[in-house]
Amino acid sequence: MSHWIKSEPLQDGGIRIRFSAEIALFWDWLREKHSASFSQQTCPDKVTISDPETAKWFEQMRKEAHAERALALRRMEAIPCGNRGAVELRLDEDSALVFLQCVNDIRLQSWHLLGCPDEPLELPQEQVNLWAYPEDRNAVLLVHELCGYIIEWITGALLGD
Amino acid sequence: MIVWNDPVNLMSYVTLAFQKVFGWKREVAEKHMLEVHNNGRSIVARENREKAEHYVHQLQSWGLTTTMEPSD
Repeated sequence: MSHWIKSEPLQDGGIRIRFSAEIALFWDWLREKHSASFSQQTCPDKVTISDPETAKWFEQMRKEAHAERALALRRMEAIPCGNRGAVELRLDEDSALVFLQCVNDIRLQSWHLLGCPDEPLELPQEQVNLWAYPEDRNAVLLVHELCGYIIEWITGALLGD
Repeated sequence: MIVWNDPVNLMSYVTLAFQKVFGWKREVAEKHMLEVHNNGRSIVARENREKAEHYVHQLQSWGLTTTMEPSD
């Protein structure tokens, strides 16, 4: 996978986050799921993507993914990533903390869905077999992995690493 | 007030949670995070019931497993 996210602290205590379009889709989903938690002033409602090709892909994904986000996440793996550009957001510290808690909550939920394994990435085969559709398990695993990735970068920026 | 280890929350996340909830410096927060990680639990505060309940609520909103017990 070529998902990536980078964040850095700002002087006002907030953070600047840059991430790949794949993660932008994930952000969109988080916004939808936790819209009541975010401040409209400090946290943009939707990501905007300047690169036309990336924007086209993103809009298509957004439409297709509206009903079933896990399906979109699953599809992401199958799409060659290429150069889809990046998205940049600036969050003040409060918004960043809310975002962080939302992502952690989803990571916890995905961990429960996976059966609370010690190492989600190394599920024993008998546990994998419990999933009627193994690709669903892969989608949840991807969510879990992405959330961990996002948490590491945001906490790093907020801790000043 | 006790924070218990869990196999899912990331160490950096727990450190940040301690800093934000208690206003601790990084070193103090890391010390307690490592206590949780290595010993399975850490006593993070001794407070009156009302204040303890407030902290427990805060820590739980960060997704950390936290309990209260009467001190000796």
